[in-house]
Amino acid sequence: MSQSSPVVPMADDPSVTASLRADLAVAQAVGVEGLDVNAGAASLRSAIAAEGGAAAASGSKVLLLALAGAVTAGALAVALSGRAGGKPRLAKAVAIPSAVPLPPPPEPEPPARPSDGLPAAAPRPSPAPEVASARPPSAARPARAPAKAAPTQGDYVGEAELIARARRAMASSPQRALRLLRETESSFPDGLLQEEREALTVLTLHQLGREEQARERGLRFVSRHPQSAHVEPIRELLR
Amino acid sequence: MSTHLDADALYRAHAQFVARFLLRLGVSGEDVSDLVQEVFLVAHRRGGFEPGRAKATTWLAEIAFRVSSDRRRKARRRLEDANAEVVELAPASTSSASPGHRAEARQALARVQKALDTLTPEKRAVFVLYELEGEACDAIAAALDVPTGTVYSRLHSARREFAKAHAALERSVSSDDAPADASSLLPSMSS
Repeated sequence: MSQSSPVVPMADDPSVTASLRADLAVAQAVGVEGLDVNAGAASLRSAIAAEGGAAAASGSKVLLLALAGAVTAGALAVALSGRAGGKPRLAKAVAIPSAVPLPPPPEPEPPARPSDGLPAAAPRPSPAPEVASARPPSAARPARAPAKAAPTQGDYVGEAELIARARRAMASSPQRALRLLRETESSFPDGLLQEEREALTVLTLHQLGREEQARERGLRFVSRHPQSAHVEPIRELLR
Repeated sequence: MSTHLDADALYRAHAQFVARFLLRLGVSGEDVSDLVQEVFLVAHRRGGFEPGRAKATTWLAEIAFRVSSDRRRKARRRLEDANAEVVELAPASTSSASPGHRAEARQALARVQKALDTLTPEKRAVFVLYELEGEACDAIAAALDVPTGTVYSRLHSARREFAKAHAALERSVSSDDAPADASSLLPSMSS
């Protein structure tokens, strides 16, 4: 405001050539073709509903929050260390800015999952998610480990990224979203995000009008995950 | 919370604006639906739009700018979008306009898009918001979190470069003297 000689818009500036002004006038008056606002709004509602409960939930639900486009290895590291140590750091994961590029997975670190009975190869390092998120984005690499191996942190990032892509695709192409969800299922059959994947699959099937399948999988979801943060939109859909 | 504009209402009011802005930033038409969705999800995750804190359009434009920069970096990883719907800019529909007029308007749009392609993303965003969307420099500065002086200097330099590129485009077409092949002039929308 201090430097406030108001700038005359180019389209109204007589010192600018008439042809340029004419082109700008056309460009100012454009419309957008091919964007289905109703479908987009509906998808946005499903996407928000699907991630809605996560904010109030804890534990593995943190992962869902980290999913849709805002996935960072840092957030996952936080979520995972939360799981491992039984102390979810919800606030930290929530605070991670959105729309940041996916950084590479942190150094391979055997997930501390006591139930796996893995050998305690290394002393568990204290979680340092900032280190992971400070790395450049260029080397991002979704890991596709064989299904049988114990999931690594890289797997979670790869799985989370696929699910985030599926979620984004729901707006423009539910068909593609479904394809991505199937890819997630075959790449990470024992993934940590099965619950999220299944919930999105139900919503996507519904979006595609495949009601019978949506219903069948929806009922299965509700019986398996009655406490899920995603169960409400699915119950809604089954009514 | 109650002052927040509901996500659905925000989307309905501004999805077209966001799509237009993304296209003008050079996002390809196949990606636009996806990215529009992402912009509004990010907006929701940021707690939604609070009227009074900023202007909805420039606030969303800042998110769209970040989302599109992110997409540019990841562009090579995109494999599965071949059959996504294409969103594109089209001249305002004036039903009385003759096919000839519409073709001319499309060529004008193509020239503008190509001239925009010569700008850096930062200058491009400021130019589009000010010259095409009619946003005020103060609002742009607030949304981008830069001093108003920076917006002015980006704008001045963008205008100079834009005019130069536009003049070159006109010269190249008129020197051909051949009837312009409309299809080759359609915005490529590639970044």
